[in-house]
Amino acid sequence: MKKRVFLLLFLLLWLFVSGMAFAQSGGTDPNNPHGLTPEQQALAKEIQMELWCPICQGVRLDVCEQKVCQQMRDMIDEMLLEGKSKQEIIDAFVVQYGVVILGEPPKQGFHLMAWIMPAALVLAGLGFALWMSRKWTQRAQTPLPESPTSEAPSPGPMTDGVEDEYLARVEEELEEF
Amino acid sequence: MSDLGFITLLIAFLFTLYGLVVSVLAARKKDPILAASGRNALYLVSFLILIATLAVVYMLVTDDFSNEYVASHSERALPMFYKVSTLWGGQSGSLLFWSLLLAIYSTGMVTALWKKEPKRGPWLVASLLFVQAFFLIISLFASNPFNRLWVLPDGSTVGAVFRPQGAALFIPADGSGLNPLLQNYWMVAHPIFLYLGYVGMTLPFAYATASLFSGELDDSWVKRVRIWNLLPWTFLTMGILLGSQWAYLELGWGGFWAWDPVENASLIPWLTATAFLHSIMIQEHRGMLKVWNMILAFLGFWLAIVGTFITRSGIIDSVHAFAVSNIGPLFLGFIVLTFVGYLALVWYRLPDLESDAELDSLLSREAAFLYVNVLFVVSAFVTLFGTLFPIISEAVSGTKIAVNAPYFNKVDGPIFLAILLLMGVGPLLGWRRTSNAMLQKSLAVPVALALSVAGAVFILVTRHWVPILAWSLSALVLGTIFWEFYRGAASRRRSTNEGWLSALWGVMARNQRRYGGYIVHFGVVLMAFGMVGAVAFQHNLKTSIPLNGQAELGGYTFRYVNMEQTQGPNYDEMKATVIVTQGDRNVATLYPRMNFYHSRSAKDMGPTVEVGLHTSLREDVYIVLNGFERGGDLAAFEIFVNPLMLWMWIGGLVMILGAFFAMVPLKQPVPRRARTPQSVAPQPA
Repeated sequence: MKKRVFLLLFLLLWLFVSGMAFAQSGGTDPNNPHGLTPEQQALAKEIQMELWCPICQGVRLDVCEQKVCQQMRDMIDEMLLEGKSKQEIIDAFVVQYGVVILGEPPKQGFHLMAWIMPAALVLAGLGFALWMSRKWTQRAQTPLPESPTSEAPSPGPMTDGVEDEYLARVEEELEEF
Repeated sequence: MSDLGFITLLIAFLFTLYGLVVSVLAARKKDPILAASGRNALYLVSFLILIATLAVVYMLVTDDFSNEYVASHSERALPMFYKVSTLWGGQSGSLLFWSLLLAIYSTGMVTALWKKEPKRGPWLVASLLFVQAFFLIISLFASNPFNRLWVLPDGSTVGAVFRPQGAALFIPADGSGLNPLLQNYWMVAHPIFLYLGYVGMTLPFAYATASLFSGELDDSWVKRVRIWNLLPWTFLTMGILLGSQWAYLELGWGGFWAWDPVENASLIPWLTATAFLHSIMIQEHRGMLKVWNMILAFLGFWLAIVGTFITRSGIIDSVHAFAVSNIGPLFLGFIVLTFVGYLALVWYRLPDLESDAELDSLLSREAAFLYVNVLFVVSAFVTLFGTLFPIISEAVSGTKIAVNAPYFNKVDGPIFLAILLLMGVGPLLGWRRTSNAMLQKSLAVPVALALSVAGAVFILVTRHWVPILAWSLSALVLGTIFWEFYRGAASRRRSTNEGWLSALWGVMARNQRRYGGYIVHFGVVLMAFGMVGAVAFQHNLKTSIPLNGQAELGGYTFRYVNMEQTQGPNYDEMKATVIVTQGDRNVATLYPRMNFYHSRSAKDMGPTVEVGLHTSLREDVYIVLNGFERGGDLAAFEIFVNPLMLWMWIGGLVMILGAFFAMVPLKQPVPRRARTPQSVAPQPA
């Protein structure tokens, strides 16, 4: 008798558990079809936001509606479940689709130029500006006659009184000197 | 009608050549009669281009599918409004539209300046007609909007002006339809303004060329050219803003700027045109940077052409590259020719472009202008380089790479922040030199504001350095602007004893250029505020919701309650109803939609989305319908919450208002006495 009760309880438990499992497999959450943990979901999203659609231009993986991108998103989930790290997953995609999915030039080899060039341009530009201003200030050491377009206040226009507020401001500024 | 348009355009081209030759002869012989003939040729050319454009519009409106352009870009069911806008919806039409805008601009500029410019005038006509000739060559020989459709003996169809051997006319029953992405009000307005900006870049270039050829190189050219740069700059700004609005509403990815090649192509000339706006002020006040200004006047135009080449020649694929054709080599030739020719011209005139003045101090407004100039030009070339890098990489290393938004944010972002810094400090520096004491006094308020904003953001909002830096620099600029307005009004009050408001208005009206510029800066601050908010604090969620189910994001609850199918004029529409609530508060009912267009070309592209948008000063709630199953029992949505997004559009509007304030004189200047350069009122447009 005791055995029967025990068996019945066992059967009920089994039914309950398998029913739960069935319910879970039948009604998968469409937003988390692979049953990732919240941490894995966050990581999946992070990876999606760093990769780009391999066939369209400038569309990030997390917002892309192409079939290939949906498959890529599924693959990310599966690789996360296999316990792969973020870098391993990204590397796997680079092998499969090429560096194009990184969305920016890789920082190695020839492509390093894409990163050096802007910095070089900025430095060259600022160097040019510095050189120009040096050249000008050096020439300014030798006093030259006031240029006619100069904004410096000359007594001429001021005879009109302080009605012209711009000149008044220049005057105000010059008080500081 | 195709024939009429073609012949008109051909005659226009012949008169362009005539006007070009006659104007050059007139300028060399100083013959006013020849000069007038050249000018009249320009007017005639403009009129003929208008006729040719109207011919295309007529064919579009009357569904004349014997014309290749109409057949491949329009359809019977297209609403009339979009039939007209199809003029600029495809390549050959938009190039003709380019010619038309150039014709209108040329006519306006020549009419306005002819009497004032006896020496530059003929050269100006020649330069404008030179550019027009190039675009007419493209329209006539490479991308002709007047091609008719022919069916060849082997059954294939071909577009050509003249009957190919053994071919018969072919008139399809219906056209293949306009790209659905272009069937949107923003997309109708956006290209007009973008082209007005792009084409308008020709004006400063033509004026600079005329100055170089005629040898009239005194500083008067920068005063006169200012308005002809500011006007297209304003249009280009509007075009870029409308384009981002379109991208935001129509592409359904929650963002407004993707650093797509086409977007970059519009931003690059904008950057150099902005540099030019600032650097002409140095030449006006101090007689410096003459060569640099000549180069900048050219760069805006040249980069607009380069941008068109990049996006239209098909060398880069992009969502915008709607057509690919054989115009590439012609564009490349023109790009090289103008570059070499212009540099040679500047080289030849170099002795006349000596600087009149010197830099007195590194702490001066002209020095700040110099640095901001360099930064604008560098950012233009960095962006150009990034846009072209995939091609360079493929050619050199053979690997295909993509250069997307993060790259540009990383390389352009710091440059833009540096520009923001100079925007805050520069206006506080005086011309020639600024004493440390003076600088400390004027910087006190803006710096205090910037530091308190940085502190508040750090404590209350985020620890991320990008928003902290961007917002505190914006606060610096804001402080500077208010300090400038305050000082101006205070100074005027001292002499006139007016109230604060009327003193402020008085000082602004007296100096529209200066205060218009500050209003534009204020707009930039608002835009930076909004853009940083939307980019740094965006939330998004991709989710499938069953009917009557709900999802949550950013404190909002989204309940999906209905899906219905309705009919548009040339599409079927699936419309979802989503009720947005926040706690107990009902925020909005949004209707994200999917449109399934009927036309042949549209079916290949798949459906387009119309986002459901609720906007407020705090944040935008933005819903995209991405798909549905079983008639709508389950629907896939992507939801975005974009904080502060509205401020970007408000800022854009303020920029435009500021530009108009700087451009359109409130009253005629009173010729009282010799005015200082600063108070010269802008010339009427």
